[in-house]
Amino acid sequence: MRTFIEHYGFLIVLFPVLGAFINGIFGRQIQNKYGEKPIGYVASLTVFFSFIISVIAFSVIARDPQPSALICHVYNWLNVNFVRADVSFLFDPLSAVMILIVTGVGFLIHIYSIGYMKGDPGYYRFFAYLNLFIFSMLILVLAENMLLMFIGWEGVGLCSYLLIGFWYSKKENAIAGNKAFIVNRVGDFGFLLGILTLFWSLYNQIAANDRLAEFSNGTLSLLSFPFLAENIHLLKGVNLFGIPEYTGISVITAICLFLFLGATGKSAQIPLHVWLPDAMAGPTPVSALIHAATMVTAGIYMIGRLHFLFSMSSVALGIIAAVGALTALFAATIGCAQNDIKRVLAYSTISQLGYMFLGMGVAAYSAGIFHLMTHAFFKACLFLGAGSVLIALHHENDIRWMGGLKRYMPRTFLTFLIATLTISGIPPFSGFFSKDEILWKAWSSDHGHPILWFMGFVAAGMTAFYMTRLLLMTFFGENRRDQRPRDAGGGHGDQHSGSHDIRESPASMTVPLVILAFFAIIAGFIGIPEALGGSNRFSHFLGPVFGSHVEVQHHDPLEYILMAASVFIALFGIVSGVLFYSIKPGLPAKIVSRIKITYDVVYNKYYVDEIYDFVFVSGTKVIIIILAAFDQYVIDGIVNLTGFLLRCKSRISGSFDLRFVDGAVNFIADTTLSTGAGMRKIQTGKIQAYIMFLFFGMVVFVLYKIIF
Amino acid sequence: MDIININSYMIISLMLFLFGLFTTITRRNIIGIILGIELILNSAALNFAAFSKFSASNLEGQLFSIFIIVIAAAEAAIALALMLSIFMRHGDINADKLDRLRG
Repeated sequence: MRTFIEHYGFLIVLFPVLGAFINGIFGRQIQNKYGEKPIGYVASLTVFFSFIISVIAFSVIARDPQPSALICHVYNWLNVNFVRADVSFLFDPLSAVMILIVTGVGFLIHIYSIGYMKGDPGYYRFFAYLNLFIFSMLILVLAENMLLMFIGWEGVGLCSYLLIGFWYSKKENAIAGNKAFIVNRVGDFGFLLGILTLFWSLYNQIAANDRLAEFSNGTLSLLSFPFLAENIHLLKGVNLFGIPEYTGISVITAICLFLFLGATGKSAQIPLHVWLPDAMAGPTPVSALIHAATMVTAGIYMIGRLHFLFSMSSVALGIIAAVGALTALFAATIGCAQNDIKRVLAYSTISQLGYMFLGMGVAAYSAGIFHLMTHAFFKACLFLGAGSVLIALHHENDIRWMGGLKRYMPRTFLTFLIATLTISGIPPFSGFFSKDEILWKAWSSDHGHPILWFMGFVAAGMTAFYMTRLLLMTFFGENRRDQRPRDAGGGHGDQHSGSHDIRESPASMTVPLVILAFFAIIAGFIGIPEALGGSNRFSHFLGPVFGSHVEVQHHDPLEYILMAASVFIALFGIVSGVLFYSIKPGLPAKIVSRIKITYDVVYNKYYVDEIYDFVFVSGTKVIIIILAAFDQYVIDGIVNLTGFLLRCKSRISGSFDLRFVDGAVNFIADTTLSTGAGMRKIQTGKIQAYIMFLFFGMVVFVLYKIIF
Repeated sequence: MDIININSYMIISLMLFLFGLFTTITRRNIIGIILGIELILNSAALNFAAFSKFSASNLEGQLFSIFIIVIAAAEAAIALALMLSIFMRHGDINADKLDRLRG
């Protein structure tokens, strides 16, 4: 089986692109001729095949007693001196986990989309994009070198843009797509700078160590991950532009921060988090797959993949942890005040991604990846549940006008409930284990600090609170659809009154929900910490990748205390949520009126969008106006002045040419003409006259000679 | 000194020249003009003979005179042929009418 993956591992990537190709090129004809079914089947089947091969790859790696990297080399893409980039796929425990998530969750969401997108004129387009996304994501995850990873990185960004703006005829969707793409460009720029800085500095170090000869036979690749992992120590203690070591700024830190900027863009962390809530304009399966389960975790994956690099810079790790904790807290507070069901989930995603970065930042890489995995399950489940609700309510997405759906949509409700408990961190659901591991590491790791733990701890409570709020307002109580003001928003629900037409979604949508909810429950069991009598198999599985970071846990009583504390705060969040939104429904309004200003700030997402709009968009516009004026008056002025001076000069030289040069020529001609006219009178043609002239001429000469 | 010295020859030669020149200038008939030219040639030939007689011991000047006479004969022959040709072409040998060389 090992050789099978070595030779045919690329099929994982090939199948989705095949699906994208079929649906992208022939999709319209197929849809017109045979309807929607073949399109959905082709798209889902290709991902399913990928999933099967992923399972094989995973089992190969899991069964290997000493799991080592398994490389499937496809072909040599670039070979320019030191830049050798292969299309090669790296199978190791980390990428194996990722491909399982991507293809597994991806497959379920493809199935779900068959039901969700029913009747959409762009059905084939949707599935082509979705397959293309799976392809790009797999490239990103399986890439063996940084250049190939960058291709995947850009590819998922493109697919995200295409899918956010999927219903592009609505202007705000197109704008949201643009926003996501442009904000991601900022991050991608950082990522590219990181790659270039890494290449530049590593090349210099290798040249300084006289090791360039190793590259002469063209088998080594400077940017491939195995090579980097072996040789990154060369960069230890290398200064950046001669900045001394004690400032904490070294070339490693610079590379890490550049790469982290890329990660903040892709994974929606402060300060580049603004695109993710707007990205909810896309179809809900897209939000679930791209903007919750897979693409947004690319930043975490990248840090995990390059952990050997990040481990060398405690400054960068500190910044990552701080940004992660801050984002977790910050997004959680916004999540408490939003009314759009998908936006609440979007902020929740940002917050959970913050947790993952917190885990990465305290060098608890396997904990971060663990949370990535559990989050993929429960967040996909939540989003798909929300999508199911949206379908039932004809795209009414304001939770204030929902309520009471529990009766009509039992399966959606049940799965949503499970996912809510999971994200809140209630044992024994998976979210508890992964979140708790991160929190414990945030306190106990060498890079950790109790403040980081506290921020994560508070965010956990808030998460439980706003998720409970969401659950209660959506599924419990009475249906408030009739209370919706007719003029508020352009929802589709206005014309339907009453709740008699609310129906549970079809099986193609509920089955994936049930499967995801099942995994949301059990996924945590593979990572039960030693403190609870488990063996943390997930962490051990990733051990070969993250190396010595997995050590035998010493049983610290503090761990139990923290665990109890996080269970307590989760329960506290849930209880207060129930208190606010179920038992005493008037309470939130009272509290809001008391802290009006704070509430407004939070409700408006801390005005980050407005600040960015003011600083970057308006700032750019001001610069544009200034530059336009500069262009118009200064540059054009210079050009016009030059033109004017040239015209003057040419007029002068023109008249000089006319008067003097032409004059001289004409003068010579005129003189010759008049001289000739005078002379021709002498030439009479009479020989005797000539003789006379001759004679008198001679006489004159003779007389002259005699006289003088 | 003899009564006939070099000045006598010079005067005769000068007169010959002037008569020849006068003839050349005043005659309208081309044959007259050629006769004038012959006179000028003869004055030159006389000068050769005179200078040779009074200044040199050999007969070089006289020899030259004979050459000039011979050449003058040849020239006259050519000139007369030319004149005949002109007359056949224009029907006239009046020098005043032959002014096609006028600029």
